[in-house]
Amino acid sequence: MKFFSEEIYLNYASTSFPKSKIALKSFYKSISNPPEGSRQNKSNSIINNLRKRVASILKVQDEHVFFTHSATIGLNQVIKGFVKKKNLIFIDNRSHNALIRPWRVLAEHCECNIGSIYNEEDQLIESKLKDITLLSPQLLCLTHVSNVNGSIYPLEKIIDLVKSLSPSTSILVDASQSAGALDLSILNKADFIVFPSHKHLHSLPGAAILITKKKLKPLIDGGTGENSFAEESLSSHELFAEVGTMNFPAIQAMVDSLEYATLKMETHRKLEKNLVDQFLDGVSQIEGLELIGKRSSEGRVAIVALKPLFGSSELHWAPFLQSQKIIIRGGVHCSPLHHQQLGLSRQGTLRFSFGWNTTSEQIEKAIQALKEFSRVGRMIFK
Amino acid sequence: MIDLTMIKTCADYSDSIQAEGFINLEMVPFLGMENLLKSLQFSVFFLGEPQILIGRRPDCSIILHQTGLVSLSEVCSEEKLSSIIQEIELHAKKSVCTSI
Repeated sequence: MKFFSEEIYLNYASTSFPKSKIALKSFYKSISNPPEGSRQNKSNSIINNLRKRVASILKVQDEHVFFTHSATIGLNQVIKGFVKKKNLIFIDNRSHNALIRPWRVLAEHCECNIGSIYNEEDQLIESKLKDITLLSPQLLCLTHVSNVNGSIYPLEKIIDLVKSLSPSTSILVDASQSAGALDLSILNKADFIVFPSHKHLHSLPGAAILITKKKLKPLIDGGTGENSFAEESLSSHELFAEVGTMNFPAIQAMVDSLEYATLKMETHRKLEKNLVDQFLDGVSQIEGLELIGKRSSEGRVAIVALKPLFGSSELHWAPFLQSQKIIIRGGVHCSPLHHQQLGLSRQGTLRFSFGWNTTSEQIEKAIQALKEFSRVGRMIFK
Repeated sequence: MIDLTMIKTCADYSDSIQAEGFINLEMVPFLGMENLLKSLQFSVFFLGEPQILIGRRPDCSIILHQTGLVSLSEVCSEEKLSSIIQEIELHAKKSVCTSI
C-alpha cells in the first residue's frame, strides 16, 4: 500500500503514521478470516497463541499477559483494580495524564504522593528514591520514557533498588513511549507493565498490552465467552481484564508488530539515533529555540522537545509548521507535572518525534521550516 | 467575508480561544491583506513555501494561507473574537469602497 500524503509526519509520540506494512498485512489477514467463536478457554486459541508470543518476547508468564483496548484502560485497570483504601501510592512526575488523572481520583480515599526522583537533566536522584521506599508504598508508578523529551529512565536499576529496599511495594511501569523502541524484557521484574500498539510499534490503535503478575479487581464486568450462567463479577476469573468483544485484528497486528520491532530493534535504533543527531545538529544553530533534555541521541528515544524563545510559544510555531505541511505536536503533551519541573507551567513545548520510516530529507525540511520561522519570529515577537 | 468553521478553547490553555475558517480573497486578495491588517495595528510578515501571512497584535494572532484558509489564536474570549472579525470585515468593506 502506498501513502500519498504530502505531509511530513513527525508526531510518532502521539501515534504513528503511516502504520507499518507488517501491521496492515496482519490486520487485513485477521479481518479476512472468520473470528473464533469461543475464544479464551482453549489453550490453542488464536488469542492464547498471541498471549504466548508476547510472553516469550517480554520473558514473562503467559497467564500474566492481557490484551486491553488502550494503554489508558490498562493503566486505569491497574490503578483502580489494585489499590485499596488507605493505601499509599507514589507516582513520578514524568507521568502522563493517563496515570495522573486516575491517581487523582484515588486521592479521595488513599494517600497519594507525587514527586520527582530525577533532576532536570533527567538523572536519577537515588536518595529521593530511597526516601520513598522508606515509606513502603503499596504502589509505585513509573514512566519508562518521557513522552515530552524522549529521555530513557533507568528503570531496570530503579526496580531492583525498590524491590531490595521495599519488597512489599508493587511497581507499575508505563511503557507507552518505549514499546517498539527499547527492549522491554528488562522491565520484567515490575509487577505491572502497560503499553499501546499504535505508537512506536507502528501498529493500529485499539489494542494494548497489560502485564500483571497480580490479580486485579476488574475495571469493567461483562462477558468472556464462557461460564455464561455465572452472573457474579469477574473478580475471581482468570480473564478479569478481558471482557466483551476484543479487537482481534488490532491485537493480531500489535503482536506481529511487537515481534517485528524486537527483531529489528538494533537496526531501527541506529536509524532513529541518526535522525535525532541530524535534527539536534540542525536545531542547535537556530535562534529562538532551546533544547529541553539531553543534548545528544544517547539515553533517549526519537522524541525531541524544544522550548520556543523570543516571547513566542508553541502556539505560534506549530501552526506555521502545519502550514508547511509538517505535523508535530505543540503543547503540554498531557504531562503537566514534567513541564512544571522544567519551569514551563504556562508554556508548552514543540515536540518532534520520529519513526524508523522517517527520512533524513524529512528531518532537513523540518529544520529549514524552523529556520524560516526563526528568521521572522525575531521580528514578530520583539 | 470571514466564515469560521471551528471555534474552540485552545487545547492546553483554557483561557484562550482559537478559530479556523476561510477568508473570501475575492474581496481583498492575499497580498492585499498585508495593508489591511497593518492598518488594524497588526505586525505582518510573509514567510514559508507555500507562502503564508502571519499577523500579530497583542490580542490576536492570524495565519492566512493563499487558499483563504485562516486561523486565529491567542484570543481571550469568543466575544473578543467576534469583535476582531467585525473589525477586519468592516475595514475590508471600507477599503473596497475606497478602491471603487
